[in-house]
Amino acid sequence: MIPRHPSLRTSLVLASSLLAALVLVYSKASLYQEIERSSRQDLDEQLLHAASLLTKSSELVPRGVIYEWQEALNSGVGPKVAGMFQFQDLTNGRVATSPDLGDQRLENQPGALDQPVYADATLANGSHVRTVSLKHLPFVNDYGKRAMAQEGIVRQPSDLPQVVTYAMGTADLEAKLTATRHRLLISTVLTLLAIWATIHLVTAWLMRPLQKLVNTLLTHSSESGAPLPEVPDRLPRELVPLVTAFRTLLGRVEVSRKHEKDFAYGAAHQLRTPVAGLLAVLEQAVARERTSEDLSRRVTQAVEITDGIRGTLDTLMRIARLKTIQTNAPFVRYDAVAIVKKAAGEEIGRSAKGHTLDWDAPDSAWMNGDDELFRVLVTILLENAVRYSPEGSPLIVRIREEDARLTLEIENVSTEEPGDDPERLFQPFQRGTRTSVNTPGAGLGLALAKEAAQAMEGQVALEVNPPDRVICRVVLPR
Amino acid sequence: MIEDYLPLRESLSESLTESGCIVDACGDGEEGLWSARNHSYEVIVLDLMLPSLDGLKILEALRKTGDPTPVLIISARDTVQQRVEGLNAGADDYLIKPFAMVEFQARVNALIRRRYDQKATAIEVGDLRIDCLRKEVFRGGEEITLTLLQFRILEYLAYRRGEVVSRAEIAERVYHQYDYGDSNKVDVIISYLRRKIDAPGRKRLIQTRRGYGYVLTDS
Repeated sequence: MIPRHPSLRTSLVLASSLLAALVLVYSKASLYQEIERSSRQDLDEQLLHAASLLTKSSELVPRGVIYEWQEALNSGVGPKVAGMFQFQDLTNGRVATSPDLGDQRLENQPGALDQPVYADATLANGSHVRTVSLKHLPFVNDYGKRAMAQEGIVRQPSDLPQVVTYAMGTADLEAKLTATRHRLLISTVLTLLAIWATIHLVTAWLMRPLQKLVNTLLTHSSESGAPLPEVPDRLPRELVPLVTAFRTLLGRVEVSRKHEKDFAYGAAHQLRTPVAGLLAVLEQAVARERTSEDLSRRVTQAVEITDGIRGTLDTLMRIARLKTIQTNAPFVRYDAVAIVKKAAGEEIGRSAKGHTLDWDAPDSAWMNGDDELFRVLVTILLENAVRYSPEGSPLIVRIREEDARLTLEIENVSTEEPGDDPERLFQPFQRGTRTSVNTPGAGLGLALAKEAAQAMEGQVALEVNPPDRVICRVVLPR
Repeated sequence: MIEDYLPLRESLSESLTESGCIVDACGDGEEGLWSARNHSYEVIVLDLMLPSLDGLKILEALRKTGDPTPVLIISARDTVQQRVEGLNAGADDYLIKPFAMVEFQARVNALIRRRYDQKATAIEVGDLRIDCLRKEVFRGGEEITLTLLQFRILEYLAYRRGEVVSRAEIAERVYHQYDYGDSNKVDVIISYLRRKIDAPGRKRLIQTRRGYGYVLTDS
């Protein structure tokens, strides 16, 4: 099952959108509430203002309370009276309605004197209105007072409380609030879209160097030996550690790939070439009539080639075993100096190249571990030193004991050129740059030595001292 | 032949020599490049992994100077990429080790024929027929027995039929390169060859261009 990797861009868009949406909804809702409250307050103030003005039209006269607006209407000389309102005389229940209200009635909500009471109502024609009822007392002027005094009427304004109810339609207000809601919603959506677009564009812009890097890496993977891609300058700094780590890893893979390639080249050369030689020698042997001596010489040559191939395969198998199998050799106490001394004597004697041995070592150096593996390691290094050094040259062996480790150095004059990268020689099938395939060995000795040293939890390294000195240094834990 | 593995080099050289070729062989890259630059060869057999100088570098150096000598790479590098790399560097053929001797010889012969634009294994000049593969010569249907040296000279003249070939060129191609100081040797062999090829009563196919050399022609 292919894992679904989270998208950075989608995550940013979703998270920021959710957060922005919450903030926007809250802020827009608050704003709307304020607008609505303010608008309704304006309406209520307008209602109260109108109702307050109308209370001035209630006048106490000898025959009771008259409404000046009504008197003006009845006389036909007054200004046009606009607005929906009604007056009610609370003493007798008489109701007077404005022309705009017509036959419709408003519900009076008489409260305390001069205290407005607001209400929402629906008129008989179905329109929604906001009403304010204001209980008030009619005013009486000097003329009224004198007239009532002449007629012997004793009446106070407080005897005839009135209620004026004023109404205003709310359709415009509701339409305005609806429009405001729409505008706020649209602005919220536009803000979210702007955030999405910004995130999309910014991430796309920031990811461009990454995409370029990906393309470079894909090209790199298909081109052998291509240089490692650089960390793009415009890569977001948060991604730089990741890319740097990846680059480091890629560098190691490159080295490993190069080693593998070198191994393949080396293996092909060191195995296929002798096989080709063997085949050629045998084919030539039977190509025509040969004398028995000639035939014998050719068969001997074929056997020598086969021995070389067998030696190469044996060493390869040994390296493979050291790489993959834990040795179960018992830990024994052995004298490293004695083993090195014996091996050096044997190698110098066997080569017959007249090497001299310069010995710089303590009388003994006791080690704990696999003595046989140590013997193999020392033999390989001495064999290499003898093989790749001129006749009669000195072989210098140094052994130093330190607290927890032992250092063995074998120095020789080299007839070969290790090349610019001596460490390469510890890879299988790698040989000096001028070493001929005819030189005994297949470039496996140092690879085997390295595996043996590592199996003993030690290290082996090669140091080149120009013009022709080579020191092989082994450091092993004691 | 530039091949560093001695048993293979010796066997291949011997095989080519036994088939009538003259072989210069060495096992070092720099030495091989020097030889290729300073001598004229029909074919260069080139290994790639050589001490001192890689085979591909030798090939590139030769092609850079316009050397047209056909090159047969013999190498253990067997991947398609490696073969393409060798051919793109200017090699004319690529043979992967190990290989059968007959295939090696066939490829060398094919490159020699290609060098002289000769597709067939037999060359005909008038009624003279030279079978390069079987090393047989016929004139008018009658087989003519030649010595190895005579055959080499006739084959070389046949490859370059119609062209005047100098004594020095013949000596270099047919003898070992260091042995041609005495150019009279060529004249002597040519005279013996004429006796066999251009017997009395037959049209003279091997003609002398005084001061220049010899030409094999039917005209």
